[in-house]
Amino acid sequence: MRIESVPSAPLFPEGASLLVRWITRYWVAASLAVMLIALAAVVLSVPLLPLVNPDKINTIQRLKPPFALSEHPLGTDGFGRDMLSRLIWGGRISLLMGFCSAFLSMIFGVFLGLVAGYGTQRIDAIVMRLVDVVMAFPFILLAIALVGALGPGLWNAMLAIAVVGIPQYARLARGAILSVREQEYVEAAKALGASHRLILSRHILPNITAPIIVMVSLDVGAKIIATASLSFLGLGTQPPTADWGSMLADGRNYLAVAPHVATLPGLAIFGVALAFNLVGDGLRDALDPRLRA
Amino acid sequence: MTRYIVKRLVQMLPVLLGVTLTVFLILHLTPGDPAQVMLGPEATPESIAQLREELGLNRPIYVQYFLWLARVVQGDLGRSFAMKAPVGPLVWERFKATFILTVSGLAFSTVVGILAGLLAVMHLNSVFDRLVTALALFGVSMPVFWLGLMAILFFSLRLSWFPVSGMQDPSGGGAWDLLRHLVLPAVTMGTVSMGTVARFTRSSLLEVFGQDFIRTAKAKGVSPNAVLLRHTLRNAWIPVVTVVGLQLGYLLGGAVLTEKVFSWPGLGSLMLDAILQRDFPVIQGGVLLIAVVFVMVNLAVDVLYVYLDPRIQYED
Repeated sequence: MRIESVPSAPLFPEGASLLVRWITRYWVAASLAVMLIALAAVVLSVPLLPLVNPDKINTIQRLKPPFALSEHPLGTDGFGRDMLSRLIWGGRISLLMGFCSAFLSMIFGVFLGLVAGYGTQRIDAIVMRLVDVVMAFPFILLAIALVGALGPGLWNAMLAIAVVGIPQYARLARGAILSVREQEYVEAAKALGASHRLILSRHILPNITAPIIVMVSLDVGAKIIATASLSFLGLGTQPPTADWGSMLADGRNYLAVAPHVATLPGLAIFGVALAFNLVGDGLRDALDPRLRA
Repeated sequence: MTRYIVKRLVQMLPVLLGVTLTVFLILHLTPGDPAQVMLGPEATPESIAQLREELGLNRPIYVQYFLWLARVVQGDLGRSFAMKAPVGPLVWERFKATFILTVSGLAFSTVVGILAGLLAVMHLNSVFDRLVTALALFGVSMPVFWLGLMAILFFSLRLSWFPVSGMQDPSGGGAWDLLRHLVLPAVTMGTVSMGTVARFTRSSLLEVFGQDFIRTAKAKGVSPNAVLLRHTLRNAWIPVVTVVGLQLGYLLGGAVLTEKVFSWPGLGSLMLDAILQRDFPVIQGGVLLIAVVFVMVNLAVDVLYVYLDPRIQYED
């Protein structure tokens, strides 16, 4: 007998009430989540904002400190470019790189985890040994090697950071699947003749979603730092395009005379990464109390 | 124990082979010809072909890999394409600089992290305890390269306490000069991982605190500080040693960013240049050395467990 559907365990059992409880209990994480959404909205709508062209060079007004000129509230960089405009445009790139690389790592990592955790022991052994080999590499050096091979640039840097992040998702997903696949409701679905596809999509995936959501929320901040690291080393976005890592690298040259050029993008990376980590901590406490620190 | 160590050393070989093979494949199967990079965009196809022949790059990949492996077994890591020098001494010299930096950074993060974790437990739920938790969060959110630049800005440029960059003054200098150059990069590196060590120490101590023998010690009237230092601490070492071991590997691999900020002449910056120049022998040699240290540290941590907790025994 084949069946089309059996009831699955929902991700949020109490639905909206859980969200309200989370917001009231973890108000810091909730307010930071709202701020991050607002920041994402600002950087996504940046072409519509009345900002100075971030690449417009003005050598007369170079290295102006913040608040010195009304048209450049956060000052200018070594080429006289507007820091505020570059920070917002750079934020667009940095957030995009962080989100996309975390998302790509998650997609491929969870897929590998599914294959390893739900497949035969032999497949599991092969996939996990591959994961072990990648994990034996120092994270940043492997990313540098991949960008070195593919060539410096925004997309290649993002891809490299995504690739080196795959193993942690694969491990997490595999571990979660190994525990979920032994649950009674999965056994029941199997006994009722449900196909592997149905079991995976309706019963296993929804029940491993919570730890993965937590991991992604914690990982976006780490990925923003990692992609900024590659840009700082000159392997990410290329001039004149702004991103926070490359702006920081530029600022290094003017540290003695114009410290704001390096300070502001660094503060932006730190602030956003901290916000993502706090939101991730809050989500972890709410969705997966066993992992609470 | 000796048999266990020998067994682990033998088990290291497939991991190291896997690492070297992966690096080899990444380097050789992705676009970017070292001969083209070395000769520049104006190079003719003939000169590129001749250089490929000289470097041995026109042989099949598996032949190149086995030739490299055969040389490695004999202690020869090959010659750098770009610097025309033997890779072994080149990599070893730079590794020493990275090792000094990494171990100093780790020593700072371990000492301060363990002390912070200990004090947090001694003043549980106090402001200090919350500060330790915040410190861990700050550590994972802090880009090490920015922290390094800020350290240079305040402590070198503004206060003139430490040199801005490098490992030693050009005129040379002794241990004192090295120490002055080492403080900022080591503290920068250590600060980022200090929070993690503090948080692990705190949670590990709290876990041991909940055990029966601690309750017994308290019931017998042992003073709170003696309970913490004599009974709790010695039983809480295992997770702390594990995380410190992991941090060493992490710091060793991530040293490239700190080295770049402080112009520290370490292995990370050598590897970065080698990757950009597609200097295959240097990349392979460097990765092999880091991988060997990484697995050796893991082994050392496992062996250390036995000395820290005599209840742990490995099957031979």
